Amino acid sequence: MNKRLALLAMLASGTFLSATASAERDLRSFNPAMSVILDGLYYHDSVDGSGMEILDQHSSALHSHAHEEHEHDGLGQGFNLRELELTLSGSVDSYFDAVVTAALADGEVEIEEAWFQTRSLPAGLTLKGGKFLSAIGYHNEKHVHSWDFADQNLAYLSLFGDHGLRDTGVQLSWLAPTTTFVQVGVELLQGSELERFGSELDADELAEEINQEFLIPNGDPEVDEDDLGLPLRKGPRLVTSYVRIAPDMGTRQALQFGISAARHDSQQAFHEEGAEAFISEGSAALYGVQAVYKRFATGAYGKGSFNIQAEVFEIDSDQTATYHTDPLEIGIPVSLNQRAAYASANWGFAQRWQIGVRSAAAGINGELVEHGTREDIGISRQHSAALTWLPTEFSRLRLQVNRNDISTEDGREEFNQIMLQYNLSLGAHGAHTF
Amino acid sequence: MKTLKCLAAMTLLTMSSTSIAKLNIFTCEPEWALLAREIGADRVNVSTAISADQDPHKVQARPSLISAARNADLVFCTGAELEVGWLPVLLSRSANPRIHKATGVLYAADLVPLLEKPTELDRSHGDIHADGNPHMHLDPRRIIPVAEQLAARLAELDTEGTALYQENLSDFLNRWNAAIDDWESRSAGLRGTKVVVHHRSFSYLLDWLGMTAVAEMEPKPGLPPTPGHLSHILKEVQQHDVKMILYTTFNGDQGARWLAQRSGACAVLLPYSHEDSLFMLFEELVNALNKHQAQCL
Repeated sequence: MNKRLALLAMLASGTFLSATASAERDLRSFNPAMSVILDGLYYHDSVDGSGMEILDQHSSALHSHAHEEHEHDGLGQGFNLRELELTLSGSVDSYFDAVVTAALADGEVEIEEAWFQTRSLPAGLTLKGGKFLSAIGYHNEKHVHSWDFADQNLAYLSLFGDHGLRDTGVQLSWLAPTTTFVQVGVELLQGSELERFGSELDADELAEEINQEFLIPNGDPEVDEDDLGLPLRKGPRLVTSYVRIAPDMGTRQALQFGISAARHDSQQAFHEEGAEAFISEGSAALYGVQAVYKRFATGAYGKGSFNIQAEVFEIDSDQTATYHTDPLEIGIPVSLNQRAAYASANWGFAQRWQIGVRSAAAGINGELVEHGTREDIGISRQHSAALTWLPTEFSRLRLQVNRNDISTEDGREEFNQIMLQYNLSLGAHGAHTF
Repeated sequence: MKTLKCLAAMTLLTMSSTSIAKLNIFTCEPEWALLAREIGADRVNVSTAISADQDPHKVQARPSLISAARNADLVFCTGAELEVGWLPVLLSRSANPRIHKATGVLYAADLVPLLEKPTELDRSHGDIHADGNPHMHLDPRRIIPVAEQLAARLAELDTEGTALYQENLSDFLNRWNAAIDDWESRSAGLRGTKVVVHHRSFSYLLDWLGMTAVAEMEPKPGLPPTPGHLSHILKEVQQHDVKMILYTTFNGDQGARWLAQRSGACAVLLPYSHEDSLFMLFEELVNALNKHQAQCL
């Protein structure tokens, strides 16, 4: 009976204790969870610091780059504070959760993500709205701090840019009421902030460039942005859809397959061919398949964990020339397609240590057909190896080497890159997402 | 018309059979799955996120867990931030309004007083939990209020089962109280025993049995033992005449073996949870401690 008395005393004091504890927790939970991520690296390459620029300028059937509206955070030789990321998240009320992520880089603030998500829709439905990372593919939704490598893989870089496909709009997803994970989703996105797939031209700037480089030297009449014939298509211009399936494989491993498709109404490109230049525009379709397998750590502190993942994407676009320096050529059909793929594997070979290898390629089977004339796009390849030390869940230090073999306008470039990265997270506990 | 009626009848039948469908309980750890089966018996379907030899801190929100949360009527977990890295992900991605209601979640740690509540919250002190040590399931006395609350909650979610849940509860508590008496009387000799632990996962077990941990092998909670820290502990082991070094599967045995070899104390592998029975869990714990106490002199 002594035990009962002791238990009663314990419970009596416990009621009081847990009441104060939960009061404190309630107070805390009224404030959004806050976290700050510090990400920086020491960078070196074998091409005098122009490695990131070469990667950016790799051959692509999209022909879009350097003419769209984005600026890139290039890495210079030496120390780089890449990003400071501030995230606030929490429940708005009983109907919505919300997340805001702002990135500070080079003295500028950029809203990386700002979205809400429903909590209480019936039938397994969730509606998300705002600016967010699209759920197409597998790697796309991952934030930099949960990447297994220091940089974006070349396949994603060639189709979505540094940060992945991120846009403003809505996403509706449905989770099946089954033991096997089946998720189906559709996104309706504005499509105006894309870097590669779905990229749009800055018509004003481009008209100026055409004047300076093609028309004025020949004494031809100048053009302004309206002469370029780029249609003003209404938003939303991007629709995506995805299906993910993952069988229940017990507590020690997991496997997920996924397919995704996307369509953008207004893929735009600027082409230069000797003394001629033209602009083409049309819809673009993107298809992707992915597979991920993970074995969870059997040993202490992450030892024995293993994952392997691979994704392949194909992009097809049928366009017409909306402007040509030779007016007779306006209206000619332009079609393009190319693939990109990567595969990576990571292994927790010792307590708190992880080693990873990654292979990626862009411009696979790339071709651009202009009025029956075919131009082959050179393939670019990248092989990477990374050694990561994860002292705790909140910090990681990583040494990565990349061997690049990149096709560019000026021929092939082979070069190496070395990165020594730190990624630290202050504040709220990060999520162990799959 | 007949076939239509037949179809309608069949639909009604299937619908009524789903309306007495079992309650789906998603548990984070196997100990709560075992308790849920004790109280819920045939009226519940129980799933659990991890196996008994896995670390509950370090779980990934894998797709099959999201599906399990999607189908759950009740999420039954430890709480006190033990699952802070993954349970919030499951809840927010589950698309399941039932578990966003107060009746849809039950946290065991909210129902009992917790030990080792930190006075200062700073991550430089390691992986500490603001509400206190969450590993409370290793004190069998603390299981009692959890069982009572679980029975009440199940009755709230499934009123037709109320009588059964109450019956199962009192049956469980009778057996449980008798077992506690038995374990305590067999462990009287453990009282006052000094041990070294790997992580704070055994604090409640030691508290219950009147044992004391003189040192932790982790220099800070969540950090693996370092040679320097182990050398320091070696002195403590010799000074306090420690006989047992306690660790569990997911701690790894390196630190415990290192210390045991140099000090002559026993490295004792203890279960942290159990796949089959809560009674077996404590039976094995009490047996292992008593056996090594007798052997490691």
